[in-house]
Amino acid sequence: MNKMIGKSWIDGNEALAWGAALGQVDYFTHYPGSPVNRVANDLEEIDREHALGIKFNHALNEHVSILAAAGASLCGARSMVVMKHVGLNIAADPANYLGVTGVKGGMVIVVGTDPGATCSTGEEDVHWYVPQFNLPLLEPVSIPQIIESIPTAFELSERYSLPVLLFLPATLCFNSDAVELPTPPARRPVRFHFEKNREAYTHVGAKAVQHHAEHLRRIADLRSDTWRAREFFNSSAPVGIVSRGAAHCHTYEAIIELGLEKVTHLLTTELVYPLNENEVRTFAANKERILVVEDQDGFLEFSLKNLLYNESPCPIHGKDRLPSHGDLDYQMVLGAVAEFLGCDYNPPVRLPTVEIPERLGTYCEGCPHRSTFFGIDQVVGDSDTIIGGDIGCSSLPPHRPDWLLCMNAGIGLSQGMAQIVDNQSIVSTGGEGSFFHMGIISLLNAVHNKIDFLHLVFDNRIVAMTGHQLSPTSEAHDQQVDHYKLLESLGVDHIFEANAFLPFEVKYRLEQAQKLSGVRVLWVRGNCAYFPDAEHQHRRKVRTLHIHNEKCGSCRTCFEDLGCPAINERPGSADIYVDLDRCARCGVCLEVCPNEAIEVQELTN
Amino acid sequence: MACRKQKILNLIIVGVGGQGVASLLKVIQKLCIAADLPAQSSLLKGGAQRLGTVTGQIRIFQNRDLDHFNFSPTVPAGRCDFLIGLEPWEALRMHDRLYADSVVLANSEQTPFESNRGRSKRSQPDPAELFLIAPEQIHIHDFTDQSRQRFGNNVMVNYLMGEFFINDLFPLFSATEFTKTFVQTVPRSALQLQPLT
Repeated sequence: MNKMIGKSWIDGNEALAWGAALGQVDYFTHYPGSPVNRVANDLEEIDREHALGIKFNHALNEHVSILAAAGASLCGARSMVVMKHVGLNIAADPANYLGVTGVKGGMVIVVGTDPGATCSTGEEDVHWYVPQFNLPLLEPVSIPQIIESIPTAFELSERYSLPVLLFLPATLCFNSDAVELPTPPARRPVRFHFEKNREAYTHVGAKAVQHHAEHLRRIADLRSDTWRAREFFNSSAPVGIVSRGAAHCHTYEAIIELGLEKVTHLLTTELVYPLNENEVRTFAANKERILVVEDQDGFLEFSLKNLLYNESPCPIHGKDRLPSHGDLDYQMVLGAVAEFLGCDYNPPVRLPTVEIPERLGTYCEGCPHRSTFFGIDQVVGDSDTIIGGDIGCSSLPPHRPDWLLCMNAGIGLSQGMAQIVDNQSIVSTGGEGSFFHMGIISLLNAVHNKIDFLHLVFDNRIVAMTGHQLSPTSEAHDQQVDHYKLLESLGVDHIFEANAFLPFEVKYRLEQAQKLSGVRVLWVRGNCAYFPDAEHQHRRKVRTLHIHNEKCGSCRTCFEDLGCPAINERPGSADIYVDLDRCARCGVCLEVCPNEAIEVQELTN
Repeated sequence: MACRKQKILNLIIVGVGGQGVASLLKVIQKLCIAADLPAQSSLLKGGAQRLGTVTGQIRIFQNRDLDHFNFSPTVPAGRCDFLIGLEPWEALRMHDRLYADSVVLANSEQTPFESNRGRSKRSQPDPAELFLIAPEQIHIHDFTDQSRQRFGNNVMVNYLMGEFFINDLFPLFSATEFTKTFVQTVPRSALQLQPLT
């Protein structure tokens, strides 16, 4: 029995990290993405505090990450890889092979999903990958269950030689609970070694078919041996409700609130794929009807219907009563359960919704992207120049780029457009995080195809949006990449550089680049306002700013065009002022003011 | 109220990124542990580091017979007992979570909507006047100004609102414990709160 550390509040990200530590993970790799962006940071902290000696690989994309985890597993290590739902698209190619190769050390693939797109550019339902990969899928429903699920996943993975998927929706990633935490055990004393086995790891022709058959056998064994689910309320009730993931808690509470405990049998599956056929048949045997409560497209409903097809006359409902888009809320579930059971209930008298404009966030005070876009606007103006947008802080409102889709959509879509449009300029943009994710390949592609094309890299020297993970250009990185040498070696025709905090330098370099042809890159450098934090804190201590309204020509350039949140209007007056509690003292407002109305003062004390 | 039947106290703390919603939520979470109160909590924020909507929710289970791990921490519509709004528009965004007897504590200082930085200025109503709730249930004060007066900056709004909440509206925890826990949880506040601890 491990010594208990005590009760602590932990959220879904921390629970995954604790689960990894308690499951004696040896190798951890990830590509950061919300809602699972902090698992690596949390596990590193546990690793440091308890001297576990876990090996970390802060991968530059999900494809590398999942392969690295598989490599460690094939040497006998317990490996875990974490990514967000759209990251699974990048990792999908290798994920298709992992069932057929099998694994040696337990391997867990954690995917953060995002019904409601609360922190993503889409709410893609990655459940449909699961039968294609044909890998087991766990979906815990609470913080304690998340912690338990990782050791369980390692055991299942080792028993059946299959990587185990674990999906966690944003709702659960951001939930917190107070749980008793034990001291993590020391790592297993295993000497990792790759045992060569070309028979097993070479897939071509007849061998690929044979390995596929073995994969099917292993998943069939797991299906018949394993059943991880919890049942609540009255097992002899004729009405069954089945749920998974975050929908479980809404369903459980709705049944209690409606007083339906005696007439309902609730089944919540933790092992969502593959479903144990005998157990599902036993559950459905005495049911007159079943309602499936789940988020997204209805994967569990589809699986149950598939399994019970031609066997049970019991009708199965789900997405005919609950939406496939957005996140499920309690009200929806309460209404669906009440209606399904023909239960009269008085919904709580709630106050009406008041429509308030959405706050999508914006660049922080002192963000290098704000001044860079000011420089771009000086060149682009109201012309129909295309601005290619990418994922990351640079795509935050006010939405200057013309699209916001997926990683490297800036450098990718722009190439096709550059080759096909007549008389329309293009400035492709993207952060350095995206550039190192797959942008390098995209840029090489432009060189390879001799595409006349201009790409701008916002290098804020950190992966800011997901919580400040190091990027290859971070100053704190002991192997900091020399971007100039890199671009030169890729064969870029013209390389320009600019300081992000000097918007007119950005403008000048952009104009120079636009006059040339070939593959052109403008690398714009400027540290994130909040990393390193000490820099920003120091500036606030030694510098203050003031707007002299008597000099101000009311052009509103600083307030509207630059749009720094630290510059505000005084209520009932045309005067503009700097909110010093918010100002990061980056000094960009001085640069853009045409009237020299903004003064910076260096403080002596 | 069904939730009253279940004896679950529902609290929402809302504001914009950078105001300290997460810190105040953490303090209340820790106070729940110290008081041995089972609770569930969630913190929702967008992708941006700053100036997006941030919503903290906590449900405190006074009925210990309930298996609270099976309950969601999300406060259902019409069930919020206490709402702390560090920004008045964000408090109003939670209007449909309230019921007639909900208690609202809101800061009157507005954070401008960045999308409103257009050249055509629109006049906006006072958000405080839009709450459809009995006047005695709403407590709206300029906590930003109070923070400037008391601490010389606006970053202690979350502390001041938490202090008001514990002292005047929610006597489940002691004000001394609140301040002590705040200092432990938000180290940067220690210097400012030193004379109080």
